[in-house]
Amino acid sequence: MALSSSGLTRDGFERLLARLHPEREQAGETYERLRARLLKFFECRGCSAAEQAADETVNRVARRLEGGEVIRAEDASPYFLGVARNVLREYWARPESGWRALEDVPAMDLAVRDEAPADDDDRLWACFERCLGGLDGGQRELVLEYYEWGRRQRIGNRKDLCRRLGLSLNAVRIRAHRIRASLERCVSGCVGEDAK
Amino acid sequence: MDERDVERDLVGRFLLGTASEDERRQAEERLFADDAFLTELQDREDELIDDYAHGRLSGDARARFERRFLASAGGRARVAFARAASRVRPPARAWSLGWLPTAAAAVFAIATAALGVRTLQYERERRDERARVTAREQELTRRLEEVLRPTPPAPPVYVIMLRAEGTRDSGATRVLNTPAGIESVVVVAPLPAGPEYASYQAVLKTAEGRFVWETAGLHAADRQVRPRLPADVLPPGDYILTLSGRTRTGPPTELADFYFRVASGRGR
Repeated sequence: MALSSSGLTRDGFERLLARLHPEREQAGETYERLRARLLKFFECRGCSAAEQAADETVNRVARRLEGGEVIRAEDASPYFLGVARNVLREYWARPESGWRALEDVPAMDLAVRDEAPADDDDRLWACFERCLGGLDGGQRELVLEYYEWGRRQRIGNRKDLCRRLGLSLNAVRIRAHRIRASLERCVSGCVGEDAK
Repeated sequence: MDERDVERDLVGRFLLGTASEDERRQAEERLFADDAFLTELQDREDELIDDYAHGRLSGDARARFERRFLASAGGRARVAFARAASRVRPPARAWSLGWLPTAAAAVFAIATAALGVRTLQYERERRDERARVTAREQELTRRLEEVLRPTPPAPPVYVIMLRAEGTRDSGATRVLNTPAGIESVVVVAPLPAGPEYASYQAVLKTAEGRFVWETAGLHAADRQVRPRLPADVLPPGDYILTLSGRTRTGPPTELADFYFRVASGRGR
């Protein structure tokens, strides 16, 4: 199974977005959530190349749409799950593709990869501080209070936080996760820049 | 356990790969059909990553977490982020009642300012929403560029274990046959008995004493240090890796020499 991103044209991708939602803004949001679902699906199935597998799933659906196939259900998500299961089955059936189930990766190999020299930790921390400082006050307060970083044990005062913000727990979770994701992207970009 | 705890427990097991086959299939179907389930899953995953980085996972959960999250570059980046976040100093909490008069005054001030604040909040929310839309557009463009760009394969890594008794004449010298095409070699060196140091350094020389490569700022894990060498510094020959420990202020202390031989092959 060729797991590359080749084969997906701009036109195919645009067609896929149009199928997800007629309005581009909404389509983009649906696509992002769909890709997050695919990533979680492959990661939780122990696929160590989850990004490639998620892309392959998207590519296959886009190619089918380009070829004239019609997804009849209003919500296309379950269709993606079906294709993702096929991609996963092929992955299991073709060990020579170079993919390994996580259970087959030696623990030592993983432990080695977790090691980071002290210098790296300092650079990470500097980037983290810089990115955290770049958030507006409300976002910074929310993310710090929600995740309780630096505490040995969680206090778990999220109900207070929700009450103060006047939001449901679900809304606060979504907001906190979005801020965290943007912070992670910022830190990752910052570390990459520093390494150049 | 209430309903929410049951759900959270299931999501945790789904993430760490300990859910039953039936539970897993159901969870997958919900993942693709239910936005709230995706949110729950992302939230629980953030929590697990933070727990790991803060040293709150142990035993089987920790081992399973490592298999699941440290196997991909993305997972390792998320763990590194959480490790940085774990250095945040949480705010201290003071529980005296001395703040009561100030609080009363503050409540009055807040009440009179509420109308203005609501207008400002509305403006800020609109500004945040615009920024969010722009960010999503940018993210979408980036994703489009990403899917159109071929993904390069991850560079292969070769892991070798050194033995403390390996000496030039002991007959226990480790012989390496590094496969062609590898980019780096991770050398696993056991620490000798004795105290642990704040950090470690490794110096690689040829058996004739010519300096080849060095690294510092390493940390021990499970009484091992694991420096990563670029494969192209290891042409066939005999080598000595000298491991030293450093306290925060003092000079390095030599701890052990490891002898090994590279018999064939080299990196790219």
